[in-house]
Amino acid sequence: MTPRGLLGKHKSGAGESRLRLWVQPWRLMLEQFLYSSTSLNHSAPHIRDASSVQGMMNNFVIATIPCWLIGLWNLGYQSNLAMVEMELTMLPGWRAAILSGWGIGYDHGNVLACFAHGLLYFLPIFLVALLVSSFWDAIFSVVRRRPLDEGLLAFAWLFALILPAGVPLYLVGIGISFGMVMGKHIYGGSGRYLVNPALLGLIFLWFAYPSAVFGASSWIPIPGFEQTSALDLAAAGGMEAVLASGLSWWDLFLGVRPGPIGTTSVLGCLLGAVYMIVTGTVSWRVLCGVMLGVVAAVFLFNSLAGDASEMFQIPWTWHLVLGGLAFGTVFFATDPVAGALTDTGRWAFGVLVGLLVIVIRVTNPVYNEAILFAVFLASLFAPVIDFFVIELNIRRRRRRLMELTDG
Amino acid sequence: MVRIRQALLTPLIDENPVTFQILGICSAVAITTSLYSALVMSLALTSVLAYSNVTISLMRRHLPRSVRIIVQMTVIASGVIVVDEFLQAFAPETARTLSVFVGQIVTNCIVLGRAESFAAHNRVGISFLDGIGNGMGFSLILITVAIIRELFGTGSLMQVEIFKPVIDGGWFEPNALALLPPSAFFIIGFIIWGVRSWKPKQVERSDFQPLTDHEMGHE
Repeated sequence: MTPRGLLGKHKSGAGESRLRLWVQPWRLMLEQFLYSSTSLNHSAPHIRDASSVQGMMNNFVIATIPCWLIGLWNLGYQSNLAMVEMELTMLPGWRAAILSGWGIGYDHGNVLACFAHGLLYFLPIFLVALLVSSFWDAIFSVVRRRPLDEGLLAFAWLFALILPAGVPLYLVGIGISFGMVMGKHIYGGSGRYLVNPALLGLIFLWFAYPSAVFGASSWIPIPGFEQTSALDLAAAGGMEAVLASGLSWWDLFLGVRPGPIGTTSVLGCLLGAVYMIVTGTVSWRVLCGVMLGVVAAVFLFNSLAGDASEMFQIPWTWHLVLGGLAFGTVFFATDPVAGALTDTGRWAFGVLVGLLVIVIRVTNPVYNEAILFAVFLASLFAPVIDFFVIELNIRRRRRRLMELTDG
Repeated sequence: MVRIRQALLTPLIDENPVTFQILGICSAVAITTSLYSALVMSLALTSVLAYSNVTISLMRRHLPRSVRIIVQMTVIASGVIVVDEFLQAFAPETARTLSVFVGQIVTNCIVLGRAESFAAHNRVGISFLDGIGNGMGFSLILITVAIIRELFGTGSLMQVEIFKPVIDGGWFEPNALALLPPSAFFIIGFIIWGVRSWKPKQVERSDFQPLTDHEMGHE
């Protein structure tokens, strides 16, 4: 058994050096990245457009930049606040060496200091995710003799943004490995997967290592400091518990709260959504569908409320800003591959995601970060949704044709 | 001699009931969280399989085609009941945790599959060996999956600690997913992937074959 046989079919190229084999995919990627064509052509049959898969994936990364900026500041801010609370003036480890050595310090009032502190947590996670996913992409592209996968940067980036800052680095590697191999490469790469690979990697970590990755001490990575996320508070004690912890609606909207690195700011997500809709990267129908589904499900649960559960009584305005709902909606439910591809299907897909989020969040207090599971489940249904939309369209047109020929 | 070897050895990898015929997946998913229950299950299934193959081979000339499935099921079910009673008598603890799954051997596709496709057409001796061979093929996968799941899910095998978990001051973070049923699907999938890359003959034709250049008319 050759390692190449293990991973897929290949054609044997005569006289190709081994070095070239390994260098080729990277060269192609660089070429694609630097020399993409900008010439346009508007007439059939050859459509030529400046957009490409690579460009689309890059748009996802660009759109997360507001979330990323606010998220890193928030992470540093929360960490510096936690240090004040625990009366620490120094941190152990290499981060302290940089922060103190370069005179940045731990002032929670200083925006740049907070951002730098957050960046020092984000960078290792992102680099590990990027290296490990490059490793898998390189292996599969060499074996299958294809250019490197277009989603390489975007998936590693998104994966780093949805992790909590205190995640052990080897688990980042395991999570992204699972997402890349089981979520992407066994289906043939970007454009063919069933569920967003970064999302699948996170779901794997959620089920495999719940306490190590999503424990109370992982949101703010100061040793010994524990704080529950707003969503956990809401699951345990409803609105009262959230308000009692001192968080306001505006805190959640702007993103000043403990949570995963990049997903705390709803404002950042909105900016990203506007950018992606304007550039035509994603469809607004999915986003509107999710909102519709969320609001409908919340009204249903509110009317059922009674004394059953505190979570039943949370109004929809709060549901929209709690947890990772905004981030998951904007960057994962809109996935160009895993989501529905017809316009009507996108509405249905969005509404399904919205309904599932609230149903899982309200009725299951353990797996309350429901947007992950909602998008996951809805993605599996996306091909069925598209199938029915297309079938209905065919049937409608056939009936119209019959009417025309009969009359 | 060749036939004996074939009956015993081909079900191990070349025609493994789990990875090649994709049978008996239910029990492979259900009881592989611990190596001990996988071993018990392997023994139980292998003995039921050998017994049912022998019995059905013995009555193969007297069995009307129209009622054969019912008779085969009866034979298998009586074998399973004996195994279950045996476990309850000599290993009551194990019987309590495994009883549902031992009962489900009746519906295990491997047993009925071998009875129907092999024992009903072959002589007693070779049918017995075929039962043992298929039982071993099933056991091989079951034990492999159970070792992976128990080792990574708890850090120990058969009560012997191999990786020291974090909770007890060690370095190993147990993988909770390994103890959930989906992990067995992943592991069996990886095993199938490996086996079929090693033996490409096992790969099925895809449902849709793109036309080759030759078929499309240009060389």
